Amino acid sequence: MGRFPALRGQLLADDELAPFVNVYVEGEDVRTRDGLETPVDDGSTVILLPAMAGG
Amino acid sequence: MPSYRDLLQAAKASVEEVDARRAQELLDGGDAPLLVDVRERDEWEQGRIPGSVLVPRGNLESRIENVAPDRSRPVLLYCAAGNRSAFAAKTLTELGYERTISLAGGYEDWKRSGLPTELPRSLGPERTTRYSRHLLIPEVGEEGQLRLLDSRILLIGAGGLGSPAALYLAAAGVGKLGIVDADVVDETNLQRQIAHSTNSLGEPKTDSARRTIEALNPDVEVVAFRERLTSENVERILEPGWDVIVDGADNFPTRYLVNDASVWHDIPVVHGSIFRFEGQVTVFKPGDGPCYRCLFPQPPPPELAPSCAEGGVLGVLPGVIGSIQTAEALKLALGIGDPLIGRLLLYDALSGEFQEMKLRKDPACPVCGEHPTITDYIDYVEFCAGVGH
Repeated sequence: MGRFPALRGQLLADDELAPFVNVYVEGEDVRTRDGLETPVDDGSTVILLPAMAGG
Repeated sequence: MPSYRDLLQAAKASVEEVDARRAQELLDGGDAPLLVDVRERDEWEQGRIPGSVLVPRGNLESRIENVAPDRSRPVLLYCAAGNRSAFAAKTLTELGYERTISLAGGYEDWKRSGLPTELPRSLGPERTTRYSRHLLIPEVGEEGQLRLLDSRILLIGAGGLGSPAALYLAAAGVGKLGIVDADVVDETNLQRQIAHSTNSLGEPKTDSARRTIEALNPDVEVVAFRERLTSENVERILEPGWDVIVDGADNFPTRYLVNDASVWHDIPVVHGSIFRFEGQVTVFKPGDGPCYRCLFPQPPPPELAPSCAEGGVLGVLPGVIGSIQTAEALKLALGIGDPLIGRLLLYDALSGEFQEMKLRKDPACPVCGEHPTITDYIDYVEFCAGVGH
């Protein structure tokens, strides 16, 4: 979020991950790890999973 | 040169034979043998021993491993009178099966002993031809195809995702397809909604989809609900009983409503959603994995989640995602494979990549958690309008 400040408003609510956003590091939900403090190794994949309703 | 009689005597002498009563005891006991009928299909169609699988003796060597991969499990073989099964048992011994048993006297003796028989259902010649590519797959076969013909799948939405799902489920011979959609076909739909066509512009999507499905496969019964799924009609729509729900809705209120209803009715939901170049697929199976609310406890504010009508979607994307949903729905209906339960597949058409994420059941989930706080339908439109955020 340091690199993409505009993301802050879309991902966070009260400095916590917003309930409609899921972040995965190497396929694992960061909520099941250390939340926003989850370490990200060089080369690991981070996925922001937005809720989408389109069908 | 040995005669047929010599060969038969040698076969019978070399294998374990049991009479019908003893066979029944073996089948009822622990470590029950696999029961294989080695007669021809036309004999099988006249009646069989319950629980048996058909592997005609002519196909025995090539097919037995599909039905009996574990060579340490005993195999009990039968034919009409106990001769073909003696030869078959000898062959299986040569193939390394540890215990093969032949039913002496065969099916005729079994019947004469007053033991239970059943008349198997069969597809008949026309369906055998139509579904032949399914019948060739050991995991499907005739039993699986009959199961598909008996299965009931409800599609939420006959749009981008619902179109390929409706077509492939119909082609696969799913016996009953429910379709819930209130919309009419408009020109902007035709870039991706392949169940509809230029000829059906202005027509209700349920009518248009029904016509397409019936032209594709007359085996399918279409149950159309030309209405939007709501808290008021959801119980009526679920009332006929559905084995699987394929969620291809285009809005959050319907997604949450489908979720809550499926948890309370214990119906697995194959979830798909799309936007521009990205799609998500997963299976929410009550009791076995997380639900939609475990994944997304709250919908995003509308400005952060534009719909396809607002943001657009690549026309083929629902084809990819709706087809994966269909594969999952068919697996659930057949009871085969590993469904995408607790796993979410993310497809990015631009990068051409799939990613898989692990999903976990939330013990604090208000609907499927340990202490549910939502136990009846709510106002989903209000819930998704941001009230309470």
